[in-house]
Amino acid sequence: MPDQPAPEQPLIVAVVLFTPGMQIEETLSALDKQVYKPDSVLVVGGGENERELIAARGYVHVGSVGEVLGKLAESASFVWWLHADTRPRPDALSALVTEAVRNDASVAGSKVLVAGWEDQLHSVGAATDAFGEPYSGLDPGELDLEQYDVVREVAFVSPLSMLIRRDLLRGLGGLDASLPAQAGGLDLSQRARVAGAKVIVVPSSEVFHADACPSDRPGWRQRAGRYRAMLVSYQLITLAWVLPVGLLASLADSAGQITLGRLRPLISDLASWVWVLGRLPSVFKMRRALRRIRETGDEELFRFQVRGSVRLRETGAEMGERLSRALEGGEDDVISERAKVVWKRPSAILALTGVVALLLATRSIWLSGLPQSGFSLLPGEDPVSTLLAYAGGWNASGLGTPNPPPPIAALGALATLLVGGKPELAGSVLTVLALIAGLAGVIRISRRTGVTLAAGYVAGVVYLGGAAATTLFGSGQWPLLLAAGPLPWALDAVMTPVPVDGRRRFGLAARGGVAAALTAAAYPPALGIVVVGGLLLALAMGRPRALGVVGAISVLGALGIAPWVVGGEVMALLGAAPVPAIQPFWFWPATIGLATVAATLSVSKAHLPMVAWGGVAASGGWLLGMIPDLPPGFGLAGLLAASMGAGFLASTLLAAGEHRWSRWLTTVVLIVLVAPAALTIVRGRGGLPSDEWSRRLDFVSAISEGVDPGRVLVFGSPEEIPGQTRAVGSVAYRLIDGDRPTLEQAYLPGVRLGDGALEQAIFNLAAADSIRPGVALGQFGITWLVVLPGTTALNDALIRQVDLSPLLIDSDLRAFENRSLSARAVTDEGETWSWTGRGYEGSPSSGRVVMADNADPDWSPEWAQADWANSVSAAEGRAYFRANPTVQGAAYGSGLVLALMVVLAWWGRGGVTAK
Amino acid sequence: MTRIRLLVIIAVVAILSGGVFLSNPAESTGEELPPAGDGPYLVCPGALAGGGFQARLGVYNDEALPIRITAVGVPEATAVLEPVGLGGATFNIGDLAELGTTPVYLDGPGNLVAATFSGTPQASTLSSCIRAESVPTALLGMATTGDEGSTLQFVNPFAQDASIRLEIVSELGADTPSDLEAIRIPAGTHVEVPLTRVLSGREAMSVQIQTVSGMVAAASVRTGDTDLAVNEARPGALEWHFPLFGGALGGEIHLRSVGDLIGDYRIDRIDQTGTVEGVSEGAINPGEQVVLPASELMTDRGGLRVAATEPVVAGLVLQTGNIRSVMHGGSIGSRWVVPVSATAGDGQTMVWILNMGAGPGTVALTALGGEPEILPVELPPGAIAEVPLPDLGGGGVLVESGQQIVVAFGVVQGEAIGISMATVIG
Repeated sequence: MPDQPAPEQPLIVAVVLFTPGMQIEETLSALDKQVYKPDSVLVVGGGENERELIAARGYVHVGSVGEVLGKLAESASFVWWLHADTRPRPDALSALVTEAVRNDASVAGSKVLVAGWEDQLHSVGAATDAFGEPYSGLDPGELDLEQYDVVREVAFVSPLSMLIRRDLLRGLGGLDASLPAQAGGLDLSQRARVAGAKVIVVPSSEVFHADACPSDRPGWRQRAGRYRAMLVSYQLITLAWVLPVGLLASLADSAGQITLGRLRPLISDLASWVWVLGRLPSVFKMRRALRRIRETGDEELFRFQVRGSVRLRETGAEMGERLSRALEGGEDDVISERAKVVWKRPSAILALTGVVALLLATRSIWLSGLPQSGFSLLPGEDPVSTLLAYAGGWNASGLGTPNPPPPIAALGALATLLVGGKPELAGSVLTVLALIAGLAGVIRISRRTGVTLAAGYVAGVVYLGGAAATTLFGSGQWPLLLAAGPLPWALDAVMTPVPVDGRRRFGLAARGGVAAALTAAAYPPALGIVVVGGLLLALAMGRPRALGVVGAISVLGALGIAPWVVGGEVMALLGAAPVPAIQPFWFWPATIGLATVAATLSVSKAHLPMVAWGGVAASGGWLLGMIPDLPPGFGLAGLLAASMGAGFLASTLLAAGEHRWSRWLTTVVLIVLVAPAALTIVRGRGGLPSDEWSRRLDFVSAISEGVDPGRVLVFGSPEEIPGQTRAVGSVAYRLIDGDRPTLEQAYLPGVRLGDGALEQAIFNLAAADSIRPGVALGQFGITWLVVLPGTTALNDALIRQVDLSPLLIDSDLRAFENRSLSARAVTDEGETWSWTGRGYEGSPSSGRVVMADNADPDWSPEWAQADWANSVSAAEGRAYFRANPTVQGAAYGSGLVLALMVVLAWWGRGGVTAK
Repeated sequence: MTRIRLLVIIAVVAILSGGVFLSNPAESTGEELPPAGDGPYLVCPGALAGGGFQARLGVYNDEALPIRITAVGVPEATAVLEPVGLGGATFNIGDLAELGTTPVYLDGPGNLVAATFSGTPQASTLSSCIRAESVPTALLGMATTGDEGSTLQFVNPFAQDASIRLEIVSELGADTPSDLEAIRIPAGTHVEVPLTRVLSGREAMSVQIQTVSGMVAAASVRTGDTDLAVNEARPGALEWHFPLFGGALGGEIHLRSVGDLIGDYRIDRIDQTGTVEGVSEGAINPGEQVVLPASELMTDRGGLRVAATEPVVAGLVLQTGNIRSVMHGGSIGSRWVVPVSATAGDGQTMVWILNMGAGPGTVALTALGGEPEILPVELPPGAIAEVPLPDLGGGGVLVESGQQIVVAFGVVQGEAIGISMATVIG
């Protein structure tokens, strides 16, 4: 048993925390040598060997951290928290106690040095930013020259060696055992500070700690721990701004890291939030406990925080460093000479612009969310129902169909689920991720062809902001913007040398398969780019072995959207929207023609395959949209391919030789190719059109006052109406379910019985065949009618009717409320039933209920056809749709295949980065 | 290598050229939306129910399908009529609502013809049910001298608000009070505008109604000592026909221009021998009215035809003794519907048929309810037949002939008379 301290000295209990893999013996020996002897020593954890060592020294063994509080002697003033792989100098505890008492501090931490490197600093306390990110101010490998040797208050100290007042530790409920070391220290320090305690670092107390400590590794658990600490300590008013701003900062940082070639920070962020959200109940519990002892506001925490985001600052610093290296010609030897040439041209400025442009080009999406227009629509509020519809349930778009919605609906629903049921957040995250992935993917492919990073950026800018992309995304084709993200990653798999060993080969195919599946999920015809583009790429690069990769990832991509492949309405999707024309008409053929000629004649032999691929993709993709009678879906996918082709042409132009004639020509062509991106940047919507529909139908829910609002029939031009439309003559129309056009409604299924009847009803309305058109429209569940500005075909009819009351919404929208009975489901007795997202519910009765959806025999119970609609028994008080077992099986299968592909891609990831 | 470079250029240029020569696929727009028709509805702006008046609605539906009747402004006051026989039905408007002036509207599939007979023991009036119009219409024959009083009635049964501009003309010339120049008629309501005080002392007034937005059906109610006359607004036409029966010779022919230009008018008379002879002609300015005594145009029964080079509205106004009646002219046709009649207690219903054809013809009258049988009438060219109808329970008759005819009808009750043109359907 250690000797008793002098009576005037505070009693100390040392707690040694053991984690498997640590060598405890040295720590225990170091404890024995302390000049200030602890009153008692508790050792937490450890196996048989450790117990023997503990017992031999007369120390007490404790099973878990949670038991420590109960074992602390009441007479003890302080607890010295020490990791079992930490070796304190003999005077470490003495210094801690002396300074803690002298400074009236409740928490005091030691200076931590790296074991084996006598003078290398590991920690001398640290500050954080507002989002919990630590900022030590230490450079990697910084030596201890006593430059930090002053006792001072800090945001947090490392729990590797930390002295804490016993009563405070008890009041705080001890250390959070779920957190790794650094995050645990931050959490305890912050809680102690808001409880009124002073947190100091005592540099004269030195401890040595193994650099590869298992409990102190950086990673997503540390980040998750910091997020948790933030949620526990901050007051609600602080969380209200810290959480959204922190999320944006994380996204920006992840974007930056991706451009630096690192995907892990993004995954780490996602994993952290999943971990934190999964433990929210315990956060609430800790917040309640802290509230009882809170003495100060969050200002006390802010005092020890640095401004801005530490992560962004570090990422920005690294990007600047890399750029500097590139400017100095420090890239690897293969391209170093070329880089020198390139950076003498205006392309250097373009490369810088690439990063800033992405941030600027998406600012509106970050700040205001995804603009609602065209096919740029947010997922619905009920993602589970959408996923069930995708898995063979009733697809309620338009007047409904038993066929699954396009996979983008499921993608949106999954994203919504992943972000905690927030469609707005899901839409923004998907958009920003797609843009980042698209930019990074194109840069990656470009780099594989041997062009500079700057040229890769230019390729990315042209791919996502060139004339083709601006035209495509500007027409509201958000699904194609999402497809633009993973598409280059699928093609990158074709560019990657096929690894020799099986594991890596599987990994390559799986990675490409995931990218192909995501591309197909966003817009299925884009899978054609993977197939055709991949084949051409393999041939152009002279790599016939890659043909197998193309085949594999194409099949995997198709398997990823199996439910839609099995049961979807392919032709309906292909005909959903016209191909927007790049204006002026001559711009694209002239620019691409000129770019191809310039690049072909001036690039080296090594770049010629990419010029060929880019030229053929840019011209061929554009041609697809020009072919009469070809379903426009091919043309839309073609335009995306054209955009990518133009991007690669641009990147190869930067690799053009030094012919006098070509310098000027390539510069001019490059400017023309890149210029449209300026429009995207100015607008700040990622190339998407302006928001038209996010609040336009708010009146529907406002007037409905919580009752099922029914359907809205919208008339206008196809460009103005959200999603797919049908047309009668020059007037387009579509049904919108409820008060917001949603992603799962974007694509209308093929024409069925009810759709024909609706078209006839619209003809009758226009012809003013009845002065009660509301009666006819009510049979389709249409409660609201909206006529967009510029649509005059119905004017005469709408002034000759008595049951569609005009609503004074705004001068820009003519809206009418149907005064006749309108409900999606009505019983024989006139009782209305409500749509639940998967079926209908209402009061049970002995009669039947007629549902205004396209007739299908899989409705239950006791289905019968009622003209074009469905009639079922009202006895159960609900009507439900029996899922198509084939589609359902395909859904489960594709989910399994996707999960397997992700696992395989991770498992076999080693080989995919080979040059 | 040069060959490969050339190949790349040729391939790309060839593809781009292909795109230039192909046109963007034209969107298939399918069948265009049809223009809005008049719609299967009628508004009866001049029905008088309550305040001592009984109003009977007579309806004819050529498809004999059910017809919904609704009181304007009282949407819950609605009923469904089931036509019988040839497609006729009658309805007591007081069963829906008794608002004094109680405009109603009818709707249902098929071609509808309807009129109302409103009466008290001392007064009777007939009023046709009409479509609301967005084109200029006119009301004739209003007066505010002595015991005379006139009220305008604007009915908007539809869901959208309507607004109109009025241009009143009297013997004094343009006579529109500034506060009556523009009137708004909210959706699903009717608005009454009394003229007696604001325009007192006028002997002959007409009003042109110009719709600014929405659609409106209008009528005027002219009250005398005991009798009264209801007149519905009509759009302008270039030709109007009147059968001038005996009592009509004491009335006046009113013309109101609703055209934009100065026009010429000409009045021809068709005598009992079928001879057509011009009896009056002149110029009529836009917005002007012309009043001609019928006795100056004809001395015996026969027909009158008013022709103009610009659209006019023409009507016959009776104001002798207690009698007050206003009737528009009509077109010509071979099939006519008299939709409503008086019962034995209301008075005697008379049908006047003018043969406008070149030769003699037989006119068949068939009760819309199918019963009783009415004897056919032989009619020489230019001749007018006056056919008293038997008691049809208020129902109407179908009038058919091989010749072009003009048909009017009236209810005579003591010193009160209501007259109206029948409706041509073929």
